[in-house]
Amino acid sequence: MKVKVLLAIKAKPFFRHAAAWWLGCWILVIVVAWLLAPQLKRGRTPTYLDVYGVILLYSVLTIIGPEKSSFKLSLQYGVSRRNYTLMMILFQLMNALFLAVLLLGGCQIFNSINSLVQLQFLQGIALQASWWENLSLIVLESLAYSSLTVLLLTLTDNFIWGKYVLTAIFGVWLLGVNEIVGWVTSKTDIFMQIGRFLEHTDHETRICVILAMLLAITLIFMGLTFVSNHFRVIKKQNNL
Amino acid sequence: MSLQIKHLNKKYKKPVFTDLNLELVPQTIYGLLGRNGVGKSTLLNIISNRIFANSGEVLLDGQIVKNNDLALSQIFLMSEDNLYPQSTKVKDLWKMSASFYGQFDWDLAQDFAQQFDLDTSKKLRSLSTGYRTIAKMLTALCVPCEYIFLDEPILGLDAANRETFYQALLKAYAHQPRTFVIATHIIEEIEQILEKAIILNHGRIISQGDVEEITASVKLVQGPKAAVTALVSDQQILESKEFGNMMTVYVHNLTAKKIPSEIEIKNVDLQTCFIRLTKGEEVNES
Repeated sequence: MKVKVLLAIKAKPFFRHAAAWWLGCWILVIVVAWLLAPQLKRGRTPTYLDVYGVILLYSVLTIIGPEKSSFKLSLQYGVSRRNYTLMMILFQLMNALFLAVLLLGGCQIFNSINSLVQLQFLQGIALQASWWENLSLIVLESLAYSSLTVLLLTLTDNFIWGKYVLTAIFGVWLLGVNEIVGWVTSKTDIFMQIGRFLEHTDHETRICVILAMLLAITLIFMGLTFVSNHFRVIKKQNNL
Repeated sequence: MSLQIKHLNKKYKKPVFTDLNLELVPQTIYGLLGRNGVGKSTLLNIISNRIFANSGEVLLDGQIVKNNDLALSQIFLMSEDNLYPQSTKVKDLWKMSASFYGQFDWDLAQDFAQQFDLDTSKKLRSLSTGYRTIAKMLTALCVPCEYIFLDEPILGLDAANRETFYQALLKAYAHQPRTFVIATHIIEEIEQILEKAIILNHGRIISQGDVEEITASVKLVQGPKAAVTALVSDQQILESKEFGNMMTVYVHNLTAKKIPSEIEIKNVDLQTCFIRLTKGEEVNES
């Protein structure tokens, strides 16, 4: 019981700090999306990079930011690795939910600018896909990006250079992965099937399926975070 | 509530500690002394759960400290590294510390801030190196933990602020007696406020106990070369120097009973004692 109370007390500043990060990230992502909109209006065909660029920016900032500063704070204030890991899982769950809200909100923003832009933006991933198909694809893949970010970050374990190295890795990886994702989705059709199912099912089932997907992703996050934190080794205390 | 370190082993590429054992008793001011790179910071980081030992245990009141939030809430480490968000204002840093530890001593903190002329509305980023150290150090003095570890707490402080720090430390101790462990290289200045000292060298404790006991264990023997040589021939010599016919020898645990009248034996201060013990060990090893 005492540990739970202690965790609750200790978690508060972390969440406050993370909330500031999230707010900053939201603003940045919305600005980027806003800057992107006029280009789309002029008729440029949106690419994977347009969509993934925004998601990537969001994922890297929202994961690396709180992770970096929260880990430092957890060291300073004597938070055990176990409770730190639990807090990070909560961060990531909230992050996933925020991202879903952001994407839905983003659609509305684009819609208010130009209904065609919204259509083009979302159909940048799969031109013939529906709104639900695209959304499920974006959410799932962005969460996959976030998972990998967490994993890479905790494995690199150098907070000073880690984020720059990661950004570079992601930049290169992004260019290649678009093709791979495109190929996989065209072959397996899994995201399309999820999207089609969501489109043709009733609203309650749709909500349940999305929540189940988020839960599944959270479990993946949990596993990744536990594993990566377990193997987190601070090689040089100067890097703390 | 004592803090015990049992059979601690830690190695990076080379071993830092091998079977290190130590007990820190409550409400005592310790000095943790050691030359550069002997593992003072590593030891403090292990105690405070920042890094993990390869084997061994740190126990607080019989409870393992590693990954134990309750035990860790009684331990605070002010380290050289800055782990606070740089954009945090000093007063917000204290609020944050209060929310983590509960009974943060606000009155004492404000009092110290005035003494050091620290502007608490400034962000850490905008403070000078010295004032950043002061902000971190005042945080450490005002958190309600039983064990406060200060790693180089006077780094970057001028002489006047160092003096104020020593007074502040004693005031914080008098206000709420706790165990303070100060790792520092400025031994001469801090000797007066230390009750006990721990001297680390090559990954092991070469001397520990009351400061008076440690300083009493090293004696400076001066006199004619022949007489001094005869006296210390079966003693543990830490260092010797010759000036013509005269000889000066630092001896550890002098056991001679009869001291010839032409020989002078002097006590040494903690810094001299520390230098001779650490250098003497290297001489003996070589």
